[in-house]
Amino acid sequence: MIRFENVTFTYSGKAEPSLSHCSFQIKPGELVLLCGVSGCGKTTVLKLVNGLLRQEEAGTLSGRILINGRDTSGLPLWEISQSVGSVFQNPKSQFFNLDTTSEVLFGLENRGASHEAMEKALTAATKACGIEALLDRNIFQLSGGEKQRIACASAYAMGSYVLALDEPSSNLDAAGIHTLREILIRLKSEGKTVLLAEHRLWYAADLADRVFYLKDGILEQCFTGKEFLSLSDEKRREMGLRSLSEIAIPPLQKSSAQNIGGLAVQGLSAAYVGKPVWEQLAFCVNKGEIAAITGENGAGKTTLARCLCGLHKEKSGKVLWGGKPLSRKARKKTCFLIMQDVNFQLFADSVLAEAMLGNDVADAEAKQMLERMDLLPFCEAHPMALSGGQKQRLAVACGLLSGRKLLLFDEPTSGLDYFHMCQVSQQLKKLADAGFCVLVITHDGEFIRESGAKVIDWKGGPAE
Amino acid sequence: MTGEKKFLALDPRTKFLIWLFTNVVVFSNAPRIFFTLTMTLYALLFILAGKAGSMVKLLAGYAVVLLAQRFLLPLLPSAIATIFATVTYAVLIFPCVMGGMYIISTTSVSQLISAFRRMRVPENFTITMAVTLRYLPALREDVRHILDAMSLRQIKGLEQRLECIYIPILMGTAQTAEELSESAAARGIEYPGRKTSWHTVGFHVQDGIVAFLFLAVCVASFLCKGVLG
Repeated sequence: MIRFENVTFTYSGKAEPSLSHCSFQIKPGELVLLCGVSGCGKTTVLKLVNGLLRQEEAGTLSGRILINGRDTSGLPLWEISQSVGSVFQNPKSQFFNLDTTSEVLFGLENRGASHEAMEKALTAATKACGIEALLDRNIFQLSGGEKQRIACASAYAMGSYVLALDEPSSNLDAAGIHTLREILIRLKSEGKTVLLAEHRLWYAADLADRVFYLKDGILEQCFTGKEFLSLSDEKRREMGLRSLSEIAIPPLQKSSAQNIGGLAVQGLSAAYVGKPVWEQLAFCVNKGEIAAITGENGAGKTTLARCLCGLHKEKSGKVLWGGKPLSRKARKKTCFLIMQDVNFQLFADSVLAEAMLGNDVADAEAKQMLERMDLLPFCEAHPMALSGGQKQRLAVACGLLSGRKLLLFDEPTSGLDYFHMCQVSQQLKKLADAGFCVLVITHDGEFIRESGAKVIDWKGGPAE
Repeated sequence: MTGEKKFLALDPRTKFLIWLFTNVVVFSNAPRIFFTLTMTLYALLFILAGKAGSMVKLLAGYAVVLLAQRFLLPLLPSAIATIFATVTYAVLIFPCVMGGMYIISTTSVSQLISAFRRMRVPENFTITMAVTLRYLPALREDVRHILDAMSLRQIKGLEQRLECIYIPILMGTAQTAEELSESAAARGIEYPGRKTSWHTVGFHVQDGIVAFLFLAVCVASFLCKGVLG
């Protein structure tokens, strides 16, 4: 049982509390879904449950948090970790070991479990999370979905009766999310208490016993699962929440017929360390169009993006712009990639300097572009101080200032709530209306619908 | 890293011991023949561990630097030659480099941790070491993304590139380090009691044989000083 009594938490260095006067009680075996827009306090609740915010330097806490009847305030983290298992959002940084089996058993090694106990836990976790085929593998060679299964297994193996999952679906494709759902069903049937913070609600909404809606650090509403499912679409959007039912990716369409204006790909093949990734791709994207590239993890979407931008060398085939073939070098100057983790592509110490970096433009021109992207008020700020959406727009500004005509977005909406997802789709529409060619790699059905992107059959050739 | 059953597996402590012997051979300025001997032994170990590929790459790198030192260095202007000379230092200590690579490429993080614990290395050092090893592949991925981004932004020139790589790496490192330690803390790494290991480490016959071979080379290198070239 988890119980919050009038809990207020303020991160150190912040004036406003991230969670205020929060009280609730969760019964054993309940699955509780925490939702709300970015920054609403979902993660704070989870980190208070699993003890990560318990160190003094993290912030100040008032109120009481009880787990299984025990006040957790004096407990060391390792003791809390015996009863609460955690799964985090970022598959890159939640693994401590390099091989899967060690990772699953890491929590048990830490508490000095015997070899037999580990063997038992490994068998149970393997069954619960379906990881037979993944044991004894290098973690870095797994797909996002497989990594998340390992993460669930390692929380499960510790035998905790409470599991705290923080946006576990952020980096997963549809197939990965369906496996995650199966794991949730399994945990529920075994009577585990599950706290799940999510933006993507469709895969878990019908499993939830209760749904907590947080806004600006306040637990605004508690729904029963049934009440939550019966929310009208209008109300749900007003709350800034993503769709409650799965929005399937529309069927593939033939890409537009070749037109002299935009991008044309002809017979393009690529290999990665000697192995073919995809072969004989052919499609066209015209100016003013938003084309979506979809497919499972591992289908080579990122390789395609890198290839179009001239970052990956093709094995054969052509990339044409305006009817003329582009060399790899020329592609680097025509196409621009906005990466999934946009932090990697911001280098300067102010927004204005960022816009001018590597671009041969005057101050006034850069400022004009920043204004167009609603970034002018921040022009002296450090790029790292911007919000995720602002960073993304800054990257777009940099691309446009260097005269790029084709903009590629790699998963621009992963981990975004409804408001921010709509913002990105507005942005894409604006770019298309201004005559740019927009390509977006995504498996977000709701975003495809919102942005009106055309899901193209990138392997099947353009329309005649 | 896995499949130890099929290949020759050594206890991590043996790996450190033979690395120590190698260091003695290299830094005691032993005759060249003993350099070659230790390198041959390591080459064998790489093959027996099923890591022939990494060994070939390593030796190819060695050959390139060696050739450059022989033929390119005399032709370079002295300023550049000085810089390059530091690179060629790696050639002088190459057996140690090989030994280090052998440890890294054949030891899993958890084996390393359990070996350190057996050797009663302080827990603080053990965890720092494990995080560092764990972080390297993540860092490599980050750098790849950043290089891509720089190449698209037309950021050129060594100085500007170095300046640009700095901020995202720093930000990325800070975040990764925080998330990694959270994930470790949430699984009880701070537990003060005795810990156990799934991958049990222990000495076997092969450890004895390998340690003996390296020790023999080490001792012989001292005995033969002044006798051999």
